[in-house]
Amino acid sequence: MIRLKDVEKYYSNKFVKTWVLRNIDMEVKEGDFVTIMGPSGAGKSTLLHILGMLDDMSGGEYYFLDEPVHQLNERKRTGFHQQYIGFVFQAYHLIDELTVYENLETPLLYKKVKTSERKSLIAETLDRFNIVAKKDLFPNQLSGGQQQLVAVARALIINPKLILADEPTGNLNSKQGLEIMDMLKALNDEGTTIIQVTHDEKKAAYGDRIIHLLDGYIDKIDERN
Amino acid sequence: MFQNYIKIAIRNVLKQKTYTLINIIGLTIGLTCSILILLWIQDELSIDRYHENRDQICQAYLKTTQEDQVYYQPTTAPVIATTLKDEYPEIREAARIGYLGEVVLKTGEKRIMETTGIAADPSILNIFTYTFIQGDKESALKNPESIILDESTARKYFGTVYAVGQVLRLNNQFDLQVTGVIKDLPQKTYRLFNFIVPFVFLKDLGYDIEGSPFFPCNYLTYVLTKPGIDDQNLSEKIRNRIFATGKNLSFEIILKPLAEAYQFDTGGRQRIVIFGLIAMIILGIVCINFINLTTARATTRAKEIGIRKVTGANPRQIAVQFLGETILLTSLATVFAVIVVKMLLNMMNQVTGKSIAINNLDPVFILELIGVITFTGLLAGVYPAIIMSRFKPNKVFKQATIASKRVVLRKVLIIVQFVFSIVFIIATLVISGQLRFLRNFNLGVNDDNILYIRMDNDMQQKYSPLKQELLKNSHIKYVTTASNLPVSIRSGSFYFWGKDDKISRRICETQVGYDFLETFGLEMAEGRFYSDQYPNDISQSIVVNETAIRTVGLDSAVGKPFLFKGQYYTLIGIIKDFHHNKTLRRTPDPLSFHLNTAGSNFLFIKINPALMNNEVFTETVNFIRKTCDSFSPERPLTYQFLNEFSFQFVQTQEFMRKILLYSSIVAIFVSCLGLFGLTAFLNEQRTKEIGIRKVLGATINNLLVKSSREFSQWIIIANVIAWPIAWFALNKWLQNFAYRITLGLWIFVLAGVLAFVISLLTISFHMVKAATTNPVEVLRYE
Ligand SMILES: Nc1ncnc2c1ncn2[C@@H]1O[C@H](COP(=O)(O)OP(=O)(O)O)[C@@H](O)[C@H]1O
Ligand SMILES: [Mg+2]
Repeated sequence: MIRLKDVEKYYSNKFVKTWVLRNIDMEVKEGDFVTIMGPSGAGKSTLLHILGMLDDMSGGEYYFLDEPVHQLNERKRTGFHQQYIGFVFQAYHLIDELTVYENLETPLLYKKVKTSERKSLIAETLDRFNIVAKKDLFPNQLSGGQQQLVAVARALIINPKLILADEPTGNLNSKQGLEIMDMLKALNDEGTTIIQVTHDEKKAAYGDRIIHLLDGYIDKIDERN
Repeated sequence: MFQNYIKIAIRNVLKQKTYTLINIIGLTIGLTCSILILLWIQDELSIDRYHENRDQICQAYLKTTQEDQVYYQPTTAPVIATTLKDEYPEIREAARIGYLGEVVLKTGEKRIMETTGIAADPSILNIFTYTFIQGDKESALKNPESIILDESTARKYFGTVYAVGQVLRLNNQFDLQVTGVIKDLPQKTYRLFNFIVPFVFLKDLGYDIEGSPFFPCNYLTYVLTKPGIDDQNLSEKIRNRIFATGKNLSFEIILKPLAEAYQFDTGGRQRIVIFGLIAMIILGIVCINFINLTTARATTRAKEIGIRKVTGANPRQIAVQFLGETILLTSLATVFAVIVVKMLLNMMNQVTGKSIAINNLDPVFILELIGVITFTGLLAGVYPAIIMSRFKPNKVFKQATIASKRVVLRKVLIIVQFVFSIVFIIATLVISGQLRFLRNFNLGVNDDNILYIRMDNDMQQKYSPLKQELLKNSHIKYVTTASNLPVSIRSGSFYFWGKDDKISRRICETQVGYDFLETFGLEMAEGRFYSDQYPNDISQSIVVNETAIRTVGLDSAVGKPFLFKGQYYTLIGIIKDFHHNKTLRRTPDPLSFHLNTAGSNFLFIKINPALMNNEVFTETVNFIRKTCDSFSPERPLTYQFLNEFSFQFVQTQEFMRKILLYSSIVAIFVSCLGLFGLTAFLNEQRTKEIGIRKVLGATINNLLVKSSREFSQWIIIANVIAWPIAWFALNKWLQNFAYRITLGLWIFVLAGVLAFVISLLTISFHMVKAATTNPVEVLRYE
């Protein structure tokens, strides 16, 4: 599903190049659950953004479902978001001015899902995440855990093939964190590909492969099972 | 999707009340000005456009060229129309129109002085579109003693619009039969009239309607071309036909399309351009506010944009969303603006002398509003929308600073706003100064306490006894007569005069009575004025002004023979130059004064200023009325004051001054509004910095000085740019006047200082607030 070949990323500041990622080669198959670990500043988030096509890479090749992403324009890449990719971030990014319901609706609107289908999808999702009662509240009326739940729900509502989760439980207490992880595991069992970033060994164990990043290089890869 | 956008737009609007308010107020003001100006321009362009044949009607102009001087005049000789019609097959109809001036119409007991009647060829009814209520265009002007009335005139005399068959007596001399009643002319008519008599009737009134190709040049000539005829070509063809020649002169007849005639005569094209520019500039200033505030505050929307992109929005959709928000805000402001426009419309009509009305449901008006909204929305919204749509979600989430990069552009835009504000202020100061200068200009004519009355035949015939009678009143100091107001001697013609060198020169002729000199406080440079002690003056003397003598290059001419129109007179005196054209657009022209012992067009009565008070004045006017009535019982007396006389030109300039004054106020206010919003936001951001500085020991004064120093730089740059622009434009405007103020440096400095002080006051509110905040409080929140 995903193939990276010699991907690199640097920031040029006048004459100095700051390297963030170098020589990244990796492959992710459909149904994989990959964990990325590494110290702060290692380039984990950057790698996830590149995988999610939110950031340009400085060099190398990236194939997503055999399409050469490095050659696509922004419109095409947006097409991929809409169809295949859901994001979950550490700082549960919700639109503050929209209610839970409207936040969930937004990706469907961009995907141009028909009204009736949209309504049933949202109702289904609210039900599944147990947040029906909260649908008319604004994000600042929810607890952190609830907000992250909504963020996950929004990532899932388009039924993505790939979920990218950047420290999805970082700001949550352990009970809430485990709930979210169980949710991801359940999705993975249904066939969704997941790539997560975490610092937590226990949560890393949910994946079947752990990629260790260090100063922008892949340090080692732990294959499990 | 649309709902989603609307919801978020409305919630953001409500969340950020101050900024929304600033934007809405700014946009409303800008749009109000633009809509008002648009309405004015639209009205101006629609003048005379209601005639069905509008695109085939042309007016003939007489163009006279002498050396480098070119004169255009809209009036031509009566034979021009007939010649054009006879010689050019392209011309379907030609008509002459002459204004009758003051005539008295009478029926039964009703006796009214009319000033806007015309005499016109019957073909006028085929050329222009008039709607007949009674009568028809084929027969209405056939009989020389017929008259067509407009609706309100018919009602005025006969109490009904159905007046055909009734009789009106003109000047107590001619009985005219009403042969038609037409609808009142629309306000959007350049040359208005309220009744028409046949052109040939002018002969009965004693006017010369045959003459030569260039005499008498008193009539408007209109032609109707055949369909498909290119008036440009035709005009060129006619231009090349030689009607008459002069040694150093050329005369040409030029056709101008009806649509252009009004603009041409009144300098309207230039005015439309200037007003359009003003509207654009004010809208520009408003849009700059919007752009600055929106981009400065873009960070507040960055997270939303990031999320939208992550959930599948492409840049175009983001741009559309923000552009939509701008257009929504603009539409809201437009609704407010239309309300304000309606409230101001009366005032505007008073200032412009128009009668513009707006109808909400008028499709043209709605279309215009949509145009205004789109234009403003795009101008204000496109740039911020593009900026927003380019936000990279990964950067947004890393909290990179986005706003700070646009600082340079923001500075440039603010400077641009102040450039325009300063130019407007300078223009207002200069135009006000010039107009004040003109008002206080010593014309060399004393026009105080002088009443003038247009005389009819009766009065002219009995001028001498009338004068004797008037002078019996001790409050009346002088009585005289003349063919022109001495502040409005303008129509010159080309003759051989002064000496016999066969060169035609332009000179303005005036008929005057005895005491002309004393009445207006004029002085002789040499010789004497006409006096009843010299009987020879009546037929053998001439008086000219200094310029006339200078123009022909005579010296010590007094007492010598002086050629005038092929005859020699004795030059008895030279009048010191005075300003006979109150607009002061030109230096004095050559003038000649001819004695007319019978009455001429005007009767002037100088009331003794020493005795003037309200009571005496009323008494004197009553006396004058009674006396004149006894000499001309058929004529209702109307009088005017000479010093209240003013030209259309001056009124137009006064109008321009007002518009510029309002524009300056609006420009500076809106610029400051933007500045206010921006400093409010920037201060929010800088509060922390200021807090730390204060902890480090900075005093309030230090901080104020630092902030204002940067700001002062902007204003100085704005001045440096504005001054040359203003100087160039106003210098050009001043060239319209032969007498003008000098563009003193102080005007520029004053405008600069004014802009500086006003804007400094605006930002100091926030600066003082920020500087006096307790540092501990600020830092606690970090
Ligand atoms: N816009 C940028 N310009 C320069 N360096 C950056 C920029 N964004 C991130 N970096 C650097 O890239 C490195 C990797 O960042 P990141 O991927 O966020 O690390 P991680 O998520 O592993 O903590 C960091 O050292 C960071 O300083
Ligand atoms: Mg990170």
